[in-house]
Amino acid sequence: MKTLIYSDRVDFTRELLEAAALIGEAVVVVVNNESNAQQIAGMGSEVIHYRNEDVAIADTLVMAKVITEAAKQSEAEVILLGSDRRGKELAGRVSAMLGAGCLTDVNGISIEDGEIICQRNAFGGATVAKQTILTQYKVIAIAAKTFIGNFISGQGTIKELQFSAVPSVKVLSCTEKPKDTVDIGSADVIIAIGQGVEDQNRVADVEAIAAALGGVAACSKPVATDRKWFSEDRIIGLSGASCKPSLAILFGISGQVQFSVGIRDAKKVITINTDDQADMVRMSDYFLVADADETIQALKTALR
Amino acid sequence: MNYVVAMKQIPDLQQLRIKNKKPVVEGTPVTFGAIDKNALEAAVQLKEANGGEVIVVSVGNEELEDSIKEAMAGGGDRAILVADDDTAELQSFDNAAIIAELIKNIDDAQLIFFAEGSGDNYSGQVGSIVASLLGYPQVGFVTEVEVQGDKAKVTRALESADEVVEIALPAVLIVAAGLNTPRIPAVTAVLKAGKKPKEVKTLDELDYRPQAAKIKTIENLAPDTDRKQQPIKSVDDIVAILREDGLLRR
Repeated sequence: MKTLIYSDRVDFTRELLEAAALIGEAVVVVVNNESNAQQIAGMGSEVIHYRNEDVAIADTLVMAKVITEAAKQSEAEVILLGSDRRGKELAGRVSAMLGAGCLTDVNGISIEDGEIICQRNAFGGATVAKQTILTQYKVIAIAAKTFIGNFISGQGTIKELQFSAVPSVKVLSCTEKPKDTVDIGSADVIIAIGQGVEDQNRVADVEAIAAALGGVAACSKPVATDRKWFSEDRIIGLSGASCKPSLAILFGISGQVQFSVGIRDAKKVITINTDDQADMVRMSDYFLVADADETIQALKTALR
Repeated sequence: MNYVVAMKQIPDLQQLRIKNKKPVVEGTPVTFGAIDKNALEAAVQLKEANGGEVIVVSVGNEELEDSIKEAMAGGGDRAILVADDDTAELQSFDNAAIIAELIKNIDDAQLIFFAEGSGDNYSGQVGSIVASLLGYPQVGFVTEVEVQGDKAKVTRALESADEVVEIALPAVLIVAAGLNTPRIPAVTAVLKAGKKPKEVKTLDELDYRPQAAKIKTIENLAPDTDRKQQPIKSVDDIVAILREDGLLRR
């Protein structure tokens, strides 16, 4: 099956090319971006570069038309998009225009008996669904980092095409967000606390432990929303971030599914809890049955 | 001008149980997703500033007639519902097609609100599909809206930037989680919620024929955990693990 790839990001496009390699021949759509077209062709890809300086990539209505047209013209039946915000917004619209089945936030792809099997979280991550698209056209938006996006180079081609469209939105401004905010979703080490921690002074202690280990401090939802010990961008789980650290140390967290979905992809988990029957223990590599507050203090001292 | 908010009835995930690795949906109380409530609040705030009416549309099972009160207490003026147990079988496209049909029959519906994702499946498709079916422009991941005559000035929050765009009405706006704090309804609002007008239809009455399934679910199970679950005895053991992982400064 031929695939058509679109993301406005070069790094994401590289990941999608890796996904496409499982499926078949690929063609990449670039819109109004000479630099992206050159870089992607430099990965050995076939690129169609659509140009119309009146149209912004912020224009989902027009972009969906461009991608739909490109799929039809290049006879691609699988449309791979990045499942970032732009990609997710496009996915539904492109699928409606092609009469396609659509899956977003796909975090695993395999081919079984010629069928593309997509994996994604369901019920807020309580379950993992394996699904396949039954329609002729298939729209699949793939989550970032599902594929590594290894560096590839080659001599691709660029086909330049003008397109006509009436813009449906006008971009008034675009402001880059400051980058200094803590992103627990991309942290390599996470030190998190739950309701089993009793003293608010432990917040400074876990911050110190996190700093010593080059990581970040985080928490379960009630610690941020009810106790307000942390801002809500430190919440792990269904209501917060999905984290993939190489190490997570969890103090006083019982491990309800609403929390554990956010830490399931950690490489190594150490749990400290007074209850050896806590759900979190089953989901840990190491567990210490001990008081959370005391252990935090002792660990902080040990790392000095 | 009127505002439409499309809300999805979902099982309350905080109460969802897993049995033999399978989710037990039956018997789990239903609610609306948190982001749906943000979408409702956004519409209600615009109505309070500019006048008009907030109409909630929703497709769900027969409990919807009761559970919609939550949205009416939250500021909806009236509801148009498809409450039918057979809707459980519908896929995203069918739900979107039904919602688009309901919206077509609402007078002066200028801004149509959706959440960036439902609480249960979070696939975030329905708003975009409805926009396509209605032929309306759209903006997703909306964090701010200002109505300016027959246009709206809308902020879209991307991962790394905030983009402000001008969009002609009617339009579909798909709101980002947390763009506002949904109001906690006063007791009087809760009491009045049940008396607000609602139009309730069944699938038969709609005469909508679902499309052939576009997606096949092969399995949907709680994931296996294959952790070591090895007991350790002290903080010294934690330090030893950290050292082994090369995380300690030398």
